[in-house]
Amino acid sequence: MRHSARGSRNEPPSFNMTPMIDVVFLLIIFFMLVSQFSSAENVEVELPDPEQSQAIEATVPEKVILNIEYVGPDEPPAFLLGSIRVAGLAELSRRLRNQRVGSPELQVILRADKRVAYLDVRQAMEVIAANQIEMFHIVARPESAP
Amino acid sequence: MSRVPPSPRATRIAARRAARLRRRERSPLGFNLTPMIDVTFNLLIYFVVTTSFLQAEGLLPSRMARLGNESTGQILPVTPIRIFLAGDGEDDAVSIRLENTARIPRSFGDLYLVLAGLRGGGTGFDAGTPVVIHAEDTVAWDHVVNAFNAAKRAGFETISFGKARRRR
Repeated sequence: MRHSARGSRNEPPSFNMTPMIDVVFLLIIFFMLVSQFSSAENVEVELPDPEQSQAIEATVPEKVILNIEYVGPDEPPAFLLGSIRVAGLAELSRRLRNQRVGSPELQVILRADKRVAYLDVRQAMEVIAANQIEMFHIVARPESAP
Repeated sequence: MSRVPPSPRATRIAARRAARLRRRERSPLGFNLTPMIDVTFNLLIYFVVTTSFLQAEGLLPSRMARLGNESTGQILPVTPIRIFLAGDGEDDAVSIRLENTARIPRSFGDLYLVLAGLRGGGTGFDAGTPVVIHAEDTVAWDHVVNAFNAAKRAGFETISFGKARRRR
């Protein structure tokens, strides 16, 4: 007993790293699991949040995302096809036409900011309809979202 | 010259020193953890910084109506249910009106109840009856989606968008 007590006193001081490494690894695993790498196509917009939302989480095979970004109360909104900003409705129409040539079953995912005026969204819908794209999906927050 | 033998105390001290040296030589048995901990911390920092908790998104599927004279209006074979949304002037408020009933919905929850009543109340409307949402140009998209959602929730399958119309 006496010997071991003296021995431990002579050993250089060290702390046990194992619990810390365990915790750090757990944190890494947690962040790897929860982190969703946001697509550049999903521009940050405030989505409509309807009462008792009927919006469903679904995947669309042939899709193009049309983002309508709110800029300001007296400013026209910004139209982005995927992550590409389009100058106006004419350019939007041209790009949609080009995309539809490659995929005839193309569907449009309409991600419009909830503050955008209806007129701007309707004009975009007119462009979609004019390009013979039949299916479109309005993006809103689903009911389960907090 | 005769050598003086070391005292027992000196022998003990020498033995202890030798044991300590041996222990010191033996001790670096394990591998160096420092680079691994560095990499691990870098990974942790990367994930902490890049993690973004995205909002959940859902889709409200809709079929684009064939173009008639009206923007996205439909060539309708039957009497549709028309929902009118008008800006109320104050803040972002909106007033809701239906062409097919005298009842004025006070909210979108109320609109759902009215639509559900129309669909199931023996009024001649069913799930296949087209619903057209006519909103004023300045009405916020949020309200239009709310009306669309209320119609979908009430079980209507064909919902389309139209231009604002004058009140009759």
